[in-house]
Amino acid sequence: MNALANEKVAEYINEHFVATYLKVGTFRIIGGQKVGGNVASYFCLPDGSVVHAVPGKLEADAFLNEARWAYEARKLAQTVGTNLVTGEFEQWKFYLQMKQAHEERYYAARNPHWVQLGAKGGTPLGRLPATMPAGSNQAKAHWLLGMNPLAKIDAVYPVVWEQILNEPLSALPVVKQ
Amino acid sequence: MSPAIHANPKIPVGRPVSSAGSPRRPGEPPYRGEPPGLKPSEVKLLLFLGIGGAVCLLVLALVGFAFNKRGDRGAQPVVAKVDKKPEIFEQAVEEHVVVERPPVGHAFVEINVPVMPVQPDPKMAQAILGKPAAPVILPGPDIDIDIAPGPVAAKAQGGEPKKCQTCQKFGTTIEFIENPPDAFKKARAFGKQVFMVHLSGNFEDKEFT
Repeated sequence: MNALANEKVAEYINEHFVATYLKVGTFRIIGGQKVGGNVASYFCLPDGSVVHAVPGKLEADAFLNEARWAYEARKLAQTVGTNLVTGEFEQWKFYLQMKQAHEERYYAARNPHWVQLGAKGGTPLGRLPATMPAGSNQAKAHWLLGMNPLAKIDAVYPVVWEQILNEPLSALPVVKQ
Repeated sequence: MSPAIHANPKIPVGRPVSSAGSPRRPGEPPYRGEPPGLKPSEVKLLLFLGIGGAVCLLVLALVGFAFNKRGDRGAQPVVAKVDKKPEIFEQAVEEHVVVERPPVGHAFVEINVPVMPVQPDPKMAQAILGKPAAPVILPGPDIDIDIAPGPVAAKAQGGEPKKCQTCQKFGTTIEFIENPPDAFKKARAFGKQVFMVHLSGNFEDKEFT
């Protein structure tokens, strides 16, 4: 929880988000050592649609980047999805923009050199793979949300927790041995 | 000489004509005579079938007529339901005029038939569109939650930042709302996103985090 204790992170989260938490797993304390357990962060719309997911722990700077990306990606998608003249909102444009944002992040995570070369936007490597690919947890999260943009948190968190973090969902209390 | 040459010329010689009509051509079935008359039982059967068929047709016609009438009564012009009817549209209904495009912020389809437009759900629109022009505090159930604006919004209004009564920080400087549904409700009211942490263990206990 070091990232959450950072002042900059806390200030940004307090300003742009409403924070809450939920226990979804458990761990054991054996001989004073924590065995098992993990953490996942989600940035959601008020209706429960997941804008961004961050599986696992991150350093403060990296976490702040992810929080900013979640906020800005949502803002961009909302702008793209809104007719600025009439104010009419088109859900499908919002959905498509979020999908493209996650695809771009996925390919950037899989191909860092592509980002360093300053390649233009879009997904030069085509569609996302049909099944969850190997790679970093963050890349997997982007793949999941690229394949299922704005999916509800009830559907996303079991996949993130069990398949990306390889942790069992559990309501059991923490056991201290 | 053949005896046929000396046949009596008065006896007509020609093709014989039978009393049954024209001669049968080769391949024709044999003549069986006129069909016999219907028996009384067969007459009754035919009568029964005829009357029965007529009755069935009559019943079907009546049913169809009755169904048609009900269908006519049930068909009513479709009117989109809206919470409030703007005056301009009411006038259009009365005068049967083409409704002009309304001011910015409203969305509807321009058609010649006066139909009430469907207003978008304001709660959904606010949730999707982000921060509203002014904070909207929704009348909630009996849940006692503090949904006062956060520090930034309070400063903008000229007041001092109000502390969140039900928030906890758990060793951080982030104000966490304990109950996720309350957090989503507050986010909807203030047009914010929700930051949700899923973790193993108990957030409240430093040892168990």
